[in-house]
Amino acid sequence: MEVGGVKHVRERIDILCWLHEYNEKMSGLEPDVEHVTAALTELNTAKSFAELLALVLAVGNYMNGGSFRGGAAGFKLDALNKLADVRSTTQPGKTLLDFMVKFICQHHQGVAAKLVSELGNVGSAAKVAYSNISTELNSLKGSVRATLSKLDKVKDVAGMRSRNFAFGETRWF
Amino acid sequence: MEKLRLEVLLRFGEDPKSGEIGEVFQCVLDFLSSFSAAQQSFEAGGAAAAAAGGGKGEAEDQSSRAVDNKLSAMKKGTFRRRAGSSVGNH
Repeated sequence: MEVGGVKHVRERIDILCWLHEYNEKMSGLEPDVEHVTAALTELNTAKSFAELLALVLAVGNYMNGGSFRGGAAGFKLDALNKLADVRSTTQPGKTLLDFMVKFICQHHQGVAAKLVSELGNVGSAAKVAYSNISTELNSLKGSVRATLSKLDKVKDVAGMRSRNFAFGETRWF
Repeated sequence: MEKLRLEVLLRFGEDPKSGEIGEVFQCVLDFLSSFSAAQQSFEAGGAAAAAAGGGKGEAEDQSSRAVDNKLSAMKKGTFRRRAGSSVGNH
């Protein structure tokens, strides 16, 4: 068989090379994407975390009483890490976080027990640079489009049809 | 994943365009680690505190009840929203 006789040889070789590269990149990205997706789902659905946020808001509104800071409908997440900065005026060494923990352990034991386990993937997701995986996925998306147009050129041969071509089992975009 | 990211950013009051999901993760992670440390410290000192409790108990119960009342009011939706607050608009 002569190579010169095969139609669109260049495109075919490009597609084969791309497919190898694609699978390699996807398997590299897969663990990061899974950690981030799992952590996002946890943040969206964890009941104990929602309950904790409601408690922190209630305590904050109770402390701020009728002042202009009181009656808040929510707060920014970074306020959570300021709980440990609010010191007790009556118990030296104790902070608002200590009070919250004590209150939650005594009155909302379910929250205390499940909080850390319900957010188990947040630790690994925090190590992932989201902008990097987002850039990688966008670049792969561009290469998928380019490859699809190459496939369009050769689709008549050997029963290859770009519309039904599956790039691995998982597609994230 | 991108849809979930936007959903979480909106849920936590961050700007979906400029908000960094990594910062949200880090913030929650930092809090979880301080929470766990405080929890361990509370559990370790629990027995000693219970023994020394006495007179402080009533005042603490009162403040716990006040917080629970506030929480129930919020859950019932009878809690007033601060003027000008954009939280909860999304």
